[in-house]
Amino acid sequence: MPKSRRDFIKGAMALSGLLAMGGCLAPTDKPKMWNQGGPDPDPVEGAKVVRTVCLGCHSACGLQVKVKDGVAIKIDGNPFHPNNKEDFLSYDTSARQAEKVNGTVCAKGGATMQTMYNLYRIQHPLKRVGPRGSGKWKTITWEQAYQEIIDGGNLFGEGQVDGLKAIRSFDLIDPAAPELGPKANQLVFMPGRIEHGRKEFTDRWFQDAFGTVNKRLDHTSICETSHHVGLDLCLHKKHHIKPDIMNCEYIIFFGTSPYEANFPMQALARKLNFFRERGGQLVIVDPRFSNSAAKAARWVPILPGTDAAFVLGMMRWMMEHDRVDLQYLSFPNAKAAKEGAGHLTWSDAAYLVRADDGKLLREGKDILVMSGGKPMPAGQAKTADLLVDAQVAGVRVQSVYQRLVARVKERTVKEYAAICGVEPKVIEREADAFTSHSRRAVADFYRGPVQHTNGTYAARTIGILNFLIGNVSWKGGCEAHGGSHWHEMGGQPGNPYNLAKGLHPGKVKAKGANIDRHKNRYQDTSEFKQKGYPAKRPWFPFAYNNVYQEVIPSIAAQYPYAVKCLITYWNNVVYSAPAGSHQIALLKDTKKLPLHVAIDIVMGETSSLADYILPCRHFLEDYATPHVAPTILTKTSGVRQPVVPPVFKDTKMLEQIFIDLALKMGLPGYGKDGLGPGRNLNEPWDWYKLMVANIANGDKEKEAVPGATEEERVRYVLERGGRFEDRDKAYKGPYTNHAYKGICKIYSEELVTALDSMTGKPYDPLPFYEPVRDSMGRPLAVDKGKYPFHILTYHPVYHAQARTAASTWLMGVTPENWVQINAADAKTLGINSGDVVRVYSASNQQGVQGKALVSQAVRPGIVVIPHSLGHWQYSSKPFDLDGKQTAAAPWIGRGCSANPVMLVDPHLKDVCLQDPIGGSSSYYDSLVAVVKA
Amino acid sequence: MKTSAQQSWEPGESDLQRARQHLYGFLAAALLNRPDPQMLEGLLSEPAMAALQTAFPGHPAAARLVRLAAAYRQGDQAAEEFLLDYEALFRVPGDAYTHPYESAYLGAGERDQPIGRPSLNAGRLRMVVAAYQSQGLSPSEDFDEPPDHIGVQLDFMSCLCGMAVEALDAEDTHRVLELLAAQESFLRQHLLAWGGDCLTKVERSAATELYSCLAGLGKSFLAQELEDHRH
Repeated sequence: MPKSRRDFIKGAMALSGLLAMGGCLAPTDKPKMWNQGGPDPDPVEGAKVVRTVCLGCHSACGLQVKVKDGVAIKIDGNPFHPNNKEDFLSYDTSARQAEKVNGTVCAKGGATMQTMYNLYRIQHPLKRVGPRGSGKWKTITWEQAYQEIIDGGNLFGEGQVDGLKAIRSFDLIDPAAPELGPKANQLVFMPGRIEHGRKEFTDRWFQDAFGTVNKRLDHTSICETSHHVGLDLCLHKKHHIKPDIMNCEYIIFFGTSPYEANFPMQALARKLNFFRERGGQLVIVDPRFSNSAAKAARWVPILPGTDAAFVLGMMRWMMEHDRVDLQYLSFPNAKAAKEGAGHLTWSDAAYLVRADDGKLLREGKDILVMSGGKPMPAGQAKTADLLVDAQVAGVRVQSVYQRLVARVKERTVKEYAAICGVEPKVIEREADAFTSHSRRAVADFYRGPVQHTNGTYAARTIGILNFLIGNVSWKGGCEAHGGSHWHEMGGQPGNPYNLAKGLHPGKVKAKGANIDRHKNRYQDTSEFKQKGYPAKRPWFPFAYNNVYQEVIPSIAAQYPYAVKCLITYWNNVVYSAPAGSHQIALLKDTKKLPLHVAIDIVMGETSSLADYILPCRHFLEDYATPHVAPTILTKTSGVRQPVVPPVFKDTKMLEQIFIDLALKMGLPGYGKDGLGPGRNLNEPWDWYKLMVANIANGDKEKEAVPGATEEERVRYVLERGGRFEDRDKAYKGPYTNHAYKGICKIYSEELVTALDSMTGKPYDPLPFYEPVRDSMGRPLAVDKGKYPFHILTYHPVYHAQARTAASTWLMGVTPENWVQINAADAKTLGINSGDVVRVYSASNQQGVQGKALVSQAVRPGIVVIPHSLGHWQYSSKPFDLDGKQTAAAPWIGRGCSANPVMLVDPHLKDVCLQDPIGGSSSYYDSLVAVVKA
Repeated sequence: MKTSAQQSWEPGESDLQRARQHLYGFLAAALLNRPDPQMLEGLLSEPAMAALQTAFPGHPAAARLVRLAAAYRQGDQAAEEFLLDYEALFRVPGDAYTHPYESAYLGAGERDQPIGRPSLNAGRLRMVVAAYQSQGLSPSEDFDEPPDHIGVQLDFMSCLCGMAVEALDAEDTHRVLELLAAQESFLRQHLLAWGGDCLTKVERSAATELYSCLAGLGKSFLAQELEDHRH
């Protein structure tokens, strides 16, 4: 043996026992489980694979569900779907061969099996047999439910209740106020989450067949509607931006945590990993140290609701350091921007604004700019002057950019920083970094900055920051369109079925004011002409997405008219809305709301306050055609389809319920020839097969997927769980392939010419920071000595909205639902981690209780309760069914929710604080106190 | 070492197996465990330094480690720095982070992932679990790292060498051959196929001499193993 080997042996032998710890492997007769952190060995050899679209959250990821003997036994990601794999499979890959490949799926998606097989689902139609909300129910047949809901009568021994047949009248609700519309509007449909394919179906039923304008008052205002409204006031018919993460170099996210939430979470997280791997700078602006902040280059814990001030500070620094792309801003039209510097978009920075009324200066229909000191139509100038303050025909005019500069310079960076609770250098550093990557830097946001009373202003201000560097539609820049989707409703040259305009014999026209007054102007009403300001409750002319939290309080106030029937679907407003628990009493009032029909899969908090509960299907038993966020740059049309037969046989698809009701009521457009001659509408697939055929044939001529017949083409799409453009189509030269090609508006003429229904004052047309206000425009008056903490909430990565608490897997990985508090604050209050604390507010003195988590991961002065737990119904407790107590699972009710302690508007007193423009509910403006329980 | 069906072994085979057992075990413990004071007391002890200098005569990493150990024992080197380095290398996403998992390096093009880059926790992970189970080995109580961690693979090799020692001592030829074949198979399919890349990254990214030296010595040892298994 050579000496070196002898030395090796001698030395290595001497290492024996020097480290006290034993090995990590041990002999055993029974193999123990490893912590694998990844997919278990696939137990599904030989199983049938069905591809569908997830609804564990709203990201619409593709699922590859393994089914054996009619039972879903494992869920993976669909490898064809761009949400689930960066290198998603080419669409022409054999569907069978693709079964060997799995995309990723998040914990929520994988656990959706458990909510389908949830034993506590509602299994038969139920009718209340005690007072509304008493928890006493009896099982009834579908026939009885349909007959009573349609015909009405003395249904509960409490007096006459009008059924749908009586409500469907086209006589005016109030002849003295014809703008309110016909009595058919007294039927209100209020779904929580409802998706494409399905929402068009129910719109057709409520609006086009029944005739109510209250067709779909869905959840968006408790999500982030002011994000959409704000951006819609900046872009032409586009309302969602996302960074092109894969080619970006710097991203500053305001109030969103893409590693935990946002859309689609797993694609965002995956792309951000690539982004960071190649040196991208990620900055998270959030009072809470989120998962995303943990992975960021910098965390900026600003005070809640001050995002716009932070951005205005950045703008000021950029203006003072010549970091604004003035060339881009000087292009006043599409041609000039394209020929001048290759831009696909242009801005209104040079448009002239009249000082007298705030409107844009026009000559005929032409908007004017100043070019070389002379007024000229914006469409004719190659470049225009940016700093203008002049007289034109005796009217003082200023350019939009001149006004923006003046706005931005109303405060110093130091003053903006003071509002945000950060050092000025923090703002300056991000302004410098944001403007150091040419067009490959993006400011993005989602829910955090907009679920405030100043939400629309914050959305516009952040969106406009991007315009100042001219990054929209460039590869690596701000994406305002995304890949979008094929048009399942038809209307494009390649689509065989135009479901959007046609295929509805006997269609009626709904008209009048919405019960939540979204998209309606108070100034157009008879009430305004008689009473002026303020309105009884706010009107929301810009809130095109509905004002969910206003629906029940408006029904209770019978404003602007009385409602006779509310149909909710997968709706849990009393649990999910800020201060939603204040709406429980309103829903119990049978005088103000005579009939409440809930369509749901569980005994949710809101459904428990219904008169009837009609059990519907879980999304894994359903159809839909969900779209994806502009995070995805390729065209994507997911198709949801049932993966197994219905788990509970006496449940029905939502569409089937409405087809049944329509047939019994004789509504137009259902049954024989319901979709036009030769096309019946008797079951959901009658509707969806036309939608999938539109997707399969494509928007353009000769764009169809392979298949000799329509049936074959439809099958081709279903086998792949949708239709997906190949990934090499994401870009076109220096741009994204499906880029936005429109105006980027810094100034909103719409806002400045609208008057608030409560104050009678115009809204601000520029980037703007507005402190928290109530519905009367008054600063929020809360005693900060008594309520010193700002309460926030967020979606933890393992949960989504109200819907995940019935999963044992997800509840297992979130054993506690902490009340998170900063260590310094906790020390002052004598609170330690694990102590039970009570959190209460001026609007809810009883408050909620939870265990404290003391940490540095939240800014001082802030307490945080993650959302999704703290249910008080949802089968966390039994109810009385047919004279017996049902089984219940107390673990479903574990934890607490922040919503019950959020503030109600001090003027309205029955609804949370709201953004008067976008209609968003305020989740982040409430002040609370915390004490040891 | 013999890897063919021979009936007798070279003199010292048992000692060689025992030496490999201890060195593999030493490296496994060093990479799997956070450097708390108890661990550092053994890791940077005078006997450990003497042993490493003997096993790796003239190796620059061994010499640097000896100097570091002396500084530590004299209180000139804070234990917290080792802990921060360990966390940055193996736990916290960042520039220094180094995947200690085989599935982050290998597996692309294999059954579970015919397309794309290697994917954490994919098929490679199940392959190593099968290898451990074939020798009747499971994770010890409270051990919670994934099975393709480099420390687990080093520990597995330590176990295989220890079993070989027992078989040699018992003159159980069949079992010895089986174990030597298992060692060779595991080294070729797993540890030697990626361990060097991983340790190179650790060596480059480490902020302290402790982990750069341990990685350097580990790399040299694996290189020697590779050389031995070429013959």
